[in-house]
Amino acid sequence: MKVRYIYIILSLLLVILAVLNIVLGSVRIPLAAIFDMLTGCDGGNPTWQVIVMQSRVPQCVTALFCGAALSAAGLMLQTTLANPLAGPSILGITSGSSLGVAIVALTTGCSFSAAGEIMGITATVSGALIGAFVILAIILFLSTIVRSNTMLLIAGMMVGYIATSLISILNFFATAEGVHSYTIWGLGSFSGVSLSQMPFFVTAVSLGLLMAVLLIKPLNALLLGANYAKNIGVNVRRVRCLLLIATGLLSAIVTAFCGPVSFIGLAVPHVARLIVGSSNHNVLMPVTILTGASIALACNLICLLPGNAGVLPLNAVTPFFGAPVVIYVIVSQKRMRFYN
Amino acid sequence: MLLTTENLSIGYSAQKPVAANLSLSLAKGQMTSLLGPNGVGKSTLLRTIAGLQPPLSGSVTVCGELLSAISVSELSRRIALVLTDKVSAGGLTVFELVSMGRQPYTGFFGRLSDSDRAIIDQSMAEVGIAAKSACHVAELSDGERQKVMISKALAQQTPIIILDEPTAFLDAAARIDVMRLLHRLASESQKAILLSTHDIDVATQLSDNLWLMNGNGLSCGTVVEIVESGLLNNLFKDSDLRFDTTERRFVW
Repeated sequence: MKVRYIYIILSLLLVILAVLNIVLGSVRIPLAAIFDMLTGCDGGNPTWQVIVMQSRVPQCVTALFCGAALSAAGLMLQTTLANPLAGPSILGITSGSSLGVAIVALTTGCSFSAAGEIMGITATVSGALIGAFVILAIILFLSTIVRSNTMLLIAGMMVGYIATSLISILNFFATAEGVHSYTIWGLGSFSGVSLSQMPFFVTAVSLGLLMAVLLIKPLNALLLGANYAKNIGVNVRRVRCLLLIATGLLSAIVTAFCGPVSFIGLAVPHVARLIVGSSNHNVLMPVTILTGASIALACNLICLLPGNAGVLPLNAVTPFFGAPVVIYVIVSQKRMRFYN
Repeated sequence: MLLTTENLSIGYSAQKPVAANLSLSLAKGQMTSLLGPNGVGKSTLLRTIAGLQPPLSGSVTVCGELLSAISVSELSRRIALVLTDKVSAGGLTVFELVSMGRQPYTGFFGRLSDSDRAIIDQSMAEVGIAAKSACHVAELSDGERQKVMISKALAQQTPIIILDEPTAFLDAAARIDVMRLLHRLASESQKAILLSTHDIDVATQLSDNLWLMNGNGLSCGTVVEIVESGLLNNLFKDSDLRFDTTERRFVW
């Protein structure tokens, strides 16, 4: 009963935030005109049409899917590694994507942040995917040797450091334009997915989210640890592989299009646990996905606050919401009960 | 016999096996206690029998089939485990944790049927934890947690239950409580129960059989056989403890 209310409230919140994301912006557009455009009627003003249909709506959809993807990835990692501080960036997956993007950006010098350069974007996405999955392959290999989840986490962090340091070395040799466009991408933004790329982006993220939902039952079993999970019939090695693939896909796609977005993957699962008051994934996974989408939309709204002066970088906003949540969870012993 | 081993060698390297040539058996309706000093390989033996780690050589037969030929999901319906592993399930309710024991039987999404729920309720009632059904696991005492894990094992409805030190960290009352519970389950539900423990006096009172592991090998027999053989005197090699066969406790 209580769970149903949580779903209803979160869905309402999500809808309100999505509408605000489309309505608010540096250019004032009447609500009626936006409604006309969205329902397919002629909106009248062609400038408004461009702003709403090619900027605000894609950005809103991107934020929604990004938030959902990163949060689901974070939850899967926290449960798999039995570690409250795990997130998509922790295993070096995001760093791997960043390295892939850096190699593309800095060697070709193509400015992928500018919309319309389809070749540049395709190369970026391929770079991020290849980077993420190379790191993932290394992690999968390590996970066959390293039994302890904590050790695997540390190994992942080390692999991430190596990727980061390679990026720094690449930056040292790169052209000024290359470094500039890479830096812009590194600030994070939900405006990186154009209308033509939207179907690919949405399909890829949905696939990852579907995997996350299908893995709910073994995720619950993994709360008891690998040995207990195996004893209640879970093929632990296969499930771990599937979890890492789902996590890798979700983080790589998001990183490729939006840059290395920080804190959402780490903090949202904690927010969801506080809302639900349980670590049962039957409820926790859907609530995490809904909360992640809502929080990403809220962060995007905050980015728009400067109005005509421009847009705040996403990674300047997410820590303001994420870091206090993580600190609260660690400091509050009562909240830590989810891990004991 | 529900479980037998033949020339089983356990451990991590064939050059230095933890124990070798073990031929053991567990019978229906009997409770067997595995005794031995720390570090002698009790946990390794239990993990090997339960299929969590492969044997170095020899074989384990569970309900008439070779362990190596039984799939993970099939094995989860034959052997239930209670381990010493850290469980990060504080955010689950007692009911939710016990319901994990139904995972071998539920479908892809783990939805519980009415009969699953009845089995979970009954498993909680049998260990006396039903009143805490809606409590979070994090709120429980160590003794209660141990009962929840035993209840999970019962919900698995397996003919064999293996427990690694189920009485560790418990106070005197809770230890005896858990051991009496296991004894009752073995005789009433006709399960084969194998547990490792350091509570030798309680084990000799409530078990049907004893397995003694002291580094030189493993001796097994009924409690009376083992107690009267004087083998318990050799259990702790470097100690001057003697086992008093009439008082059934260690003296010095």
